[in-house]
Amino acid sequence: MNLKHELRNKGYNENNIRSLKSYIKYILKSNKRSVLIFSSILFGVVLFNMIIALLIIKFSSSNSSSTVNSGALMSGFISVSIMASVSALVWTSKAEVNKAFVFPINRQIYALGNFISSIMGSFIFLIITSLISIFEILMGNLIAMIFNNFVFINEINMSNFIPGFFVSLSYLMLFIAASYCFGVYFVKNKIIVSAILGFVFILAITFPWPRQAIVEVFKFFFYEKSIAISCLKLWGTAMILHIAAFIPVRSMEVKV
Amino acid sequence: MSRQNAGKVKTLSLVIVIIAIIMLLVFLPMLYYATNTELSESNTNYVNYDELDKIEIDASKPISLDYSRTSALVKLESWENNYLKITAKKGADNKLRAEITRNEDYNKITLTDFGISSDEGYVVYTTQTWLPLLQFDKYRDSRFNSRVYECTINIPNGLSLDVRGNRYYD
Amino acid sequence: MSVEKVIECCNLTKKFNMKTALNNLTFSLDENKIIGLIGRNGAGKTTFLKTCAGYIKPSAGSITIWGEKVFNNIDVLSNMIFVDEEIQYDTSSRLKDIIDLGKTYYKSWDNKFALKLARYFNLDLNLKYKKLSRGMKTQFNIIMGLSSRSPLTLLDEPTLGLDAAIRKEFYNILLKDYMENPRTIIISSHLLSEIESLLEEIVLIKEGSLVLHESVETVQEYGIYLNGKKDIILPFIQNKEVLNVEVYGNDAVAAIKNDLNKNETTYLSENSIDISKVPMQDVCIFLTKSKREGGFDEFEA
Repeated sequence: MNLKHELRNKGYNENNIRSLKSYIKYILKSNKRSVLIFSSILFGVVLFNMIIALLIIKFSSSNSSSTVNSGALMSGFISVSIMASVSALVWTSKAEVNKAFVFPINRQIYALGNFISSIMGSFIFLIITSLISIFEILMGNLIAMIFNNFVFINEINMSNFIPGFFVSLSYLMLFIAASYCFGVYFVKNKIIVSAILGFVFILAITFPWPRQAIVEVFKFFFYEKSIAISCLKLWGTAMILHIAAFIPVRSMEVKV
Repeated sequence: MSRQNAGKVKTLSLVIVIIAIIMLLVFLPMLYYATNTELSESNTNYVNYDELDKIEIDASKPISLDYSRTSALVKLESWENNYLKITAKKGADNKLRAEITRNEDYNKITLTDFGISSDEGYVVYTTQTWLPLLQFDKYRDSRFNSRVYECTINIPNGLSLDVRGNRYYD
Repeated sequence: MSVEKVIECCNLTKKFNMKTALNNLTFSLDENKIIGLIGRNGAGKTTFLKTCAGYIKPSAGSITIWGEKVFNNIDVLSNMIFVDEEIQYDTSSRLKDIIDLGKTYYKSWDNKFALKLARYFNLDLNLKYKKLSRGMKTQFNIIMGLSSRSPLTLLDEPTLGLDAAIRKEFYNILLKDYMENPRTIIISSHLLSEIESLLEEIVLIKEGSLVLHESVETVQEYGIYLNGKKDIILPFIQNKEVLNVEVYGNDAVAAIKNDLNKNETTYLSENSIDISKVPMQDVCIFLTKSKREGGFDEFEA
């Protein structure tokens, strides 16, 4: 086989594409367990709330009322944010990086694969959340049909679901990118990153302007009134963080 | 042994998928009805503001509480085939009551409160929408932070609904 | 027909903080051979293989594979596989999932061969990787290495943790597969005596530097033992390249480089000095001996 000749003919994208597809498949497969755990927990929370509502119906006294504010969408988004941020942090550990580099991959594909799979993973988690929410709505309607003193209020409709889905996806992208970027730099140099964090913390305690700066950053994202601009800010920041994370990854040595 | 286990897992998965499909087939039409009923003249009860006191309405059709002064709209639905009672109270300023469904172009009115009176205890179960929508005004009620833009309240037979709201301007 | 060079190093150096793991390595390896990478613990074999595999960057010098730089080069990396004992697959994955991944990553992957090997080694593919014993992990790593059919296969101590019977089976499978699917295979191993029959070339490394790069036949003829009276042997070897000397009372056993002429052979024969070939393993041990004289008894801390 004349590989030397083959390699010299540039425009050889097949290896890049194969490696990228395989790496994304690897990431999604290795997070299968997280998906199952998340689905079970969220489903359990919803069922638990339903059961609580039914128990209240059965055992409550006359003229009393109770409110169960629930929402698979609400709980699901919070759970996914935490899980995804932690997963992104863990993904940057040496052990996980070594696992990723067992198969043929270069650092560009590694970074790009992480970015693409963070989008796909977030999307999958939010879809699961949405499906469980549909289940919740169906069950709510069913119980409302059966029990006379069960009032079911569904605040979810297409005009808030779809924008909410995309805003939630955008926020997830930001959280994942922030954790990932932090993790990459922390793994590269734990001492320097810890020292910087400690320094910023001490500055924030001592002077007002660092606190103000932090509040301004918070406001930049969370006080934005326009959905479109908000999503733009979130996605833009996520991409910048991924690019920043690529800087140390570019020359990273593995299995050292 | 491992083949047997694999077989069991496959059977269980198949059973779960079949149950899920049956559930969807049975309840999706109901959900569709619940969320997509359109208000049109022929299939709507129109109730004027001045007439509100205790009114018996054909509960098989959606109800529109139409306040002629403000043209606000309230959409209520009932699953029951019996009559639905509505008790509406007038406010001290004699202005609008409530709007749950927002009109597209005028009279921006948001839900501020609702209450349900009943001779028995009841449970109100609310499914809330996505958390990040909190930051956007149009998805958030400024007074009660109820995150309601549009919602549908299913009122079972026998309960009275009292709905209140405020009118505001940009 | 010209033979292509698969690996070419020029002054390849790698330093980790204060330690020099590879020191100005310069050599090249032809393709489609089974090459043994031999050296003591800490000689730099694993560092060299990891540099070939693109895991680490050289501190100085260069290494090219098929004429291309390795680091971050997906075209080169897609055509090689590196197998060592520290390989970490996703521990919660089942073996069949890992094999599936191999199929998606490697263009030349032979899935039938992988499944056949798994059955041959009695590995249950539904098991999770973390449930495997050390020996089973080694067997599985070998399966992955061989099934990839990568044009460049790097095996770092591939038989660690395996019993003698399984090791022998592995060598047979490796040789047979190599004959049917020729490719470049570099094996690093301590058990030179076991793999001697597989190898075509030896690269011997000591403290990161190249000591020897010869064909197996050359290394097999490299040294000779002289066994007899020390009064004859010790003066004789004064002007020779001495690999090792052991004195036992009045007798001595000396290992020297095999460059005797006819007269010298006659002289030794007349003085009842026994001449025998130094086994390849012993040649490598002597050539990579540390500068300390004597054994543990003479060692002073």
